[in-house]
Amino acid sequence: MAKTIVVADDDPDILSIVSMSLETQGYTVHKATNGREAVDLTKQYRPDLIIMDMMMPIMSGYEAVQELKADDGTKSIPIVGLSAKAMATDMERATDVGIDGYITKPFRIAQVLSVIEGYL
Amino acid sequence: MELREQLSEVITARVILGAALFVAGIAYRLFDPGALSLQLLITAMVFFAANVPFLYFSRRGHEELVSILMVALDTAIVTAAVIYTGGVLSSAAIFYVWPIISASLLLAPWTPYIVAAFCGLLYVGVWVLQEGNALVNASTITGPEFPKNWFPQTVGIRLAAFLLIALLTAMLGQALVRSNSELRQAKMRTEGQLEQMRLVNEQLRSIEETSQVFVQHHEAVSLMPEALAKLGRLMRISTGFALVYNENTEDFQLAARIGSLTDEQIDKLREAGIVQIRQSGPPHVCSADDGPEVAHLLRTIERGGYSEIILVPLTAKDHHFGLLCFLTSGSERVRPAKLSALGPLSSQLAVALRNIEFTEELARKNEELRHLDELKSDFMATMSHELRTPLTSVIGYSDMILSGVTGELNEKQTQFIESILKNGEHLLNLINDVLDLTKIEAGRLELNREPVDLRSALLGVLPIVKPRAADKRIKISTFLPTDVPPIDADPAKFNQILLNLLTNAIKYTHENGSVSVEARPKEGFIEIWVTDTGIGISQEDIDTIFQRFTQIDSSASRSQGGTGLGLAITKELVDLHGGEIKVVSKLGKGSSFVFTMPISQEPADHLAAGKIS
Repeated sequence: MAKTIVVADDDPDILSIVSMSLETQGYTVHKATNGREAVDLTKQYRPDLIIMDMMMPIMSGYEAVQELKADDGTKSIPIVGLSAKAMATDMERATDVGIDGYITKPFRIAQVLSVIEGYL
Repeated sequence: MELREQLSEVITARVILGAALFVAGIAYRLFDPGALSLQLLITAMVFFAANVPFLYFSRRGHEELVSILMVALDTAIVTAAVIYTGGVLSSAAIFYVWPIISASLLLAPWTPYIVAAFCGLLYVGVWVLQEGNALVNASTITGPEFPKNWFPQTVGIRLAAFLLIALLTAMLGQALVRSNSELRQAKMRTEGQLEQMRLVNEQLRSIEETSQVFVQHHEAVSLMPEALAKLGRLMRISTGFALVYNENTEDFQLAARIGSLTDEQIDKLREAGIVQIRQSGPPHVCSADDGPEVAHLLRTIERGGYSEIILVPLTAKDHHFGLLCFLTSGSERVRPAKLSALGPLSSQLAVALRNIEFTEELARKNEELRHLDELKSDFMATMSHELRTPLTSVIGYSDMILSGVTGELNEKQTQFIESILKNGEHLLNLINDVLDLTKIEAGRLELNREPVDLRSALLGVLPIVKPRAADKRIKISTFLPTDVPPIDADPAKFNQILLNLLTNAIKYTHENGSVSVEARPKEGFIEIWVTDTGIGISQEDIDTIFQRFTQIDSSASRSQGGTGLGLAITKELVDLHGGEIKVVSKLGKGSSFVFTMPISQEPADHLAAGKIS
């Protein structure tokens, strides 16, 4: 059975690049455009992994991660951050809220694939 | 020594002499109870008895009179001695010198001559009386018989000799007195100068002490109360206040006060224009001459029980920083010397105020700069973020198209998309490097130092550069001593340095060339050489090579993907570690980048090496 991944990003281009690349690799992808949708989709589909942009409207990636990591049903799902925030302090902040991996934008598709394979 | 003390000493000596003579007279009478011994006894008694009242009167302030009487007494006694010891031929005449010296010591400068003349007259008188056989007993008592015609000649010669001696003695006495008084004056002058010097010294010390106290303060709020209190104590004035110019309100504000002045009283003085009376110059005691307003002001303070206003303007470099105002009452009159001592102190105080102002301004400027720096860093962070998002689409889509997801590409399409991808990554490198440099310059980059093993570090870095070297068939070799000690560095930053230098070396080396890394310990540091057989650097380029956006041939290097910031960052990182970096190069032959890293005092943790940020 194909692995399920929730991808959240408010930028439609990046969302489509990531989801298309993953689908090409045979993953089942659910797309979210903000943190709220990401949380809802996660609770609905119980995916194997979440790729989360950090800066999003309505609910940010940080808040979404906090909510998911606080929920016993979802806290074991690995979350990989995908953000244009490239400062060391930004990564620390993501790690502090409980994120499992972090990729800075821009990225190469091969890089994303190798990182998520490590968590699946 | 004063005349009174001198006189009293002389008289005391005479009383003692009189007593001694008296004792000698008694002793002489016991051996030889003749007429002469009785005369000696009587003389001693008279001498003794006459000097005792002298002693008494001289101590009551009749020095002049006592001196005259004393000289007269001595003259009389000598004359009596002359008469009773043989008259004109008596050797006792030599004692006339005595009253002459006494006169020159104790009386006016002209008196010794008068006394000498008088003694001469007495002597002549004795001679006349002796000639007329008036002094019957004198001629019968002593003296050999002289032929009648010899007598006047002998007496004449004696008189002349006597007068000459008297004159010389008087002159000698005069000279003695004069030099004595000159000495005394010189001594007094020296003492006066010493006193003056002591005062100046004291003043200097107090200025130094006070100014040291002044410079210890960093704020006018704490400086002025202490300064006012100190200067008040120095002048022994208990009432006053200090005004300091405030740049923000453009007005003089009350900074300190001593004594019992009320706000109302101070306001009244300020309204009357106390600040305008003296804006510069030395401390000033206000008087009615300063103008009708000041005269009115003085009358006003008199009603409050004060008598004087002393203004001390605080001026440094033509800038009026403030004013000290003292009010004196009753006994607190200030001596001019004290007032002039206040001058330098007030200058010191003004300088201290000026320094405080400078320091505050510096702190303000510093704060502004810090704020600007923060803005710059924030701007860089924001810019980095804003550029990354569109770049993600550029790189992501290029990557996807190249991977063939969207269908087969022809050769030209592949070439163009690869170019888009490469340039996108170049832009990304540029953003990363600028961000790095900004962080280093803002002092925000912290090193996580640990012992780093060179061999392990190289093993981590070489695989990254090897593919590029292999493309150009460049041979990379390393020469590390077997016992090379670990260095004290941030492993990620050290790897960045190595990577930058190796990438550069490979970039500028022709095909089939070679690149080497060597290390050797040198004075607490490890010196690391990254040498290539590349195009080399000309002497003029070496000077600018570590500056930003410097590339030897930008058109050629752009195709290699350099940002022009690599060496600037490398140098900053080496500097941050406390090392140095330099270039040795020969155009067309190759270059060596030589940098030093401090040797670690601890053994290396092999797992730590090889980390890449």
